[in-house]
Amino acid sequence: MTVSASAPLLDWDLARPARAEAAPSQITRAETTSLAQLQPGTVGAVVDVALDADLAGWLEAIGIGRGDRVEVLRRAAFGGPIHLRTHTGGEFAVDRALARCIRVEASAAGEEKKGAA
Amino acid sequence: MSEHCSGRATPALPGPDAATGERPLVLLIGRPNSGKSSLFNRLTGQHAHVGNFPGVTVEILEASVTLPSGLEATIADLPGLYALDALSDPTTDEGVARAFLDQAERSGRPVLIAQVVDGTQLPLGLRLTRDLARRRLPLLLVVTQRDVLDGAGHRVDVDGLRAAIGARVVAVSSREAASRVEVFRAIQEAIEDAPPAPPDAWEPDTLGAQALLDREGAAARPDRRGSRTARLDEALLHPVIGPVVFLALTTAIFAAVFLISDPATAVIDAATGAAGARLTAWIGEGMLSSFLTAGVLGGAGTVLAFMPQIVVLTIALELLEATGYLARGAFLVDRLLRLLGLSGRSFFPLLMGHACAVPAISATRIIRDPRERLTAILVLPLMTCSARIPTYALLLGAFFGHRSALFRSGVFVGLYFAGMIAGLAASLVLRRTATRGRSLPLVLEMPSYRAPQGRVVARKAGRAAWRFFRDVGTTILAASVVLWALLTLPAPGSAPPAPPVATSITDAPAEPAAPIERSVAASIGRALEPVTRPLGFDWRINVGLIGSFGARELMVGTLGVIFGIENAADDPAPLSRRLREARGGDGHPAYSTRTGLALLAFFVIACQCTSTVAAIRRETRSFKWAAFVLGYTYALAYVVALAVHWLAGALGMA
Ligand SMILES: Nc1nc2c(ncn2[C@@H]2O[C@H](COP(=O)(O)OP(=O)(O)OP(=O)(O)O)[C@@H](O)[C@H]2O)c(=O)[nH]1
Ligand SMILES: [Mg+2]
Repeated sequence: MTVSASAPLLDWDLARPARAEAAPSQITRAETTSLAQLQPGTVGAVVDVALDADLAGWLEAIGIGRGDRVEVLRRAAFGGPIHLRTHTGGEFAVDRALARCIRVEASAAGEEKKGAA
Repeated sequence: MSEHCSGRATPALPGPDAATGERPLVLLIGRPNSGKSSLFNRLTGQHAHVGNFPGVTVEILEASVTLPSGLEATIADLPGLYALDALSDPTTDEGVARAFLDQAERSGRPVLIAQVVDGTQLPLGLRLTRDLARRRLPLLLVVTQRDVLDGAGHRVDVDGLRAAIGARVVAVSSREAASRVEVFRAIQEAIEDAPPAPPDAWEPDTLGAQALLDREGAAARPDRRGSRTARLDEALLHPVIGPVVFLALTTAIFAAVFLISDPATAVIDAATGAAGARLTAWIGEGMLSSFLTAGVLGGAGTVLAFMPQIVVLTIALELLEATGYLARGAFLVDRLLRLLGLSGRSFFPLLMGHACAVPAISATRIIRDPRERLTAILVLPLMTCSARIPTYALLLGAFFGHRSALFRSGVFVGLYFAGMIAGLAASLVLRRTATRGRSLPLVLEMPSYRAPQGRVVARKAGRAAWRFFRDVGTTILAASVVLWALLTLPAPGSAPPAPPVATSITDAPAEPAAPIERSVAASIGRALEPVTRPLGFDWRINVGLIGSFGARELMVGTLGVIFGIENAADDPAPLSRRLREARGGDGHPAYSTRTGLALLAFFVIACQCTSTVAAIRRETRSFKWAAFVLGYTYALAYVVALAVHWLAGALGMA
């Protein structure tokens, strides 16, 4: 692995330029927030993932895709990762910068352990 | 040198082998940590590495089995993958799995995909099932962890699932022996029978929820595993308690390695010493007894005494991995590592590096970001691998033997942290120079906590012990013998050969012409003295450093041989005492505490391990980076050792 040989992921851009903001959305902005801002204990439904298609597809496979519900369990100190539970029953640590690219619609707090066996 | 240090080198991507002809290939595919390797072990009787962390398996393992009908099949354990379509770097674990799947599909050989699904996370697994079903390859769903579902009062609706997705389904527990037959039968059916009728469209999340039924007779109990995990995380991921526990745990592990093992080492050491004395008394002094006591017992035997440390360390790391704590560690240190240009994903390989850098270098495949991955590979040799333990323990015994065990274990732990700090500092520098660039963000699955399986841990410990024993018995023994010869044979052009090492060679300074001083090895060691004198090293340590170029343990082995020959007539004394009492040519003590500290510093940093260099070459596919690691670690080691030697002097140490 020479650094240059690893092609596609390398040029990955953190966020598609402000597409989330630009797109006309049925949901008014006041109701959606970024996943990074969701308070621990709250559940949010993903409305948009402003990331390149590959990463978005990968996130969808783990249960963080458009329409999926995720619950924020905790946020690490000093801007560290966010610990969340997807409604498919998995728990993930997600980077704060990545979470900023995911817009969610906050819903009622704490639907406890949905889907986890 | 733990477990894999001399493990067989599996090619990064072995393709499905055309030579095995029409024998069906069963691919165990599934999300990371879903239980593929556990199932593989249950089916094949092999011992693939299993751990409660997503991304334990990073290369493909294959084994042949005979199905109940007598049909032979090959079963392959793949690294985990989350998605089939999302593009991923082929050098990562997910990429390796995907490439193998593609290759198998193209090979034209009969292929069965056995998707392993964690029964406690059905919806998540079924998302991958939907992708796999689109590939139109014969599919079998193996739902594992039935025992866990049982415990929670649940069961999987096997028939319902089968009807919905149109593939065979079997629910098992890899921890039960009977599962083997159940899965074999299902595999055979899936291979031989026509696939069930293609189903209507189905939705993973709803189906996953529907397929989990309450077990008859057992009132659904509250989810105990889930709430246990939640409670533990409450404490272990707490912003204050979490990091404190993390630091305490790491310190405790390294201290335990030292404190628990030290007495055991002393016993083994005394035993080899006594055996040497008995041997000399029995055969009489001479070439043969020198060979056996100094060459064999002094070299390989001395190294062997450090086996307890390796075993204790293996058990500790295995427990961390099996419980699921490692993912928590990654969560806690992600922010810090990010500042230094790495991420939480690097935590697992870096921690594994404390056992042995070689498997840890393969483990970096779980790092998604190519630059971060390269950085992790380049700094991994700085983590204190278990091969350093013998040298650390020896030098601590020699130069701090008069201090309390607690003090020595403190220094020992300090050496571990010194290695980590050196590694993190190196990463900081590399990420601003050689591997500069932005990083991919972290996404890491956090598995539920599990109780470690005693049998797996014991087996791991046993294997670590056996491998260490085997390495000592082969490589290190051979090297000790070669060294003994080089220390016994006079260098060409030196004074006429003295009678062979027979007569009593004392360390009396009045007799400088001891044969060992004129040996080939000694003259090489002396030639290096101008370079190493500022560090306080003499020719004997230099010979040790040359010996340890191949593998670190050889330092102790080499010194064991040298002092074994020099002190042939002495009472058997532990090597640490001989080191402390060693005299230089002028009759003064050869080594001071400063020398010891400088040598320790050198060992913290130098990449004295040919297996590691080879692994770096293999994993980066470039000689350049392998050479780079050798160059920078040795240069840095010299500078730091020099600084330590000087600083210790400035602080008034002898
Ligand atoms: N109770 C129980 N635990 C299981 C079962 N199968 C696997 N496990 C545990 O699940 C964890 C993950 O198992 P692995 O076999 O390493 O999973 P894997 O799919 O190979 O994981 P990667 O190699 O990381 O992709 C380990 O802690 C296993 O002990 C099972 O049937 N029952
Ligand atoms: Mg595995």
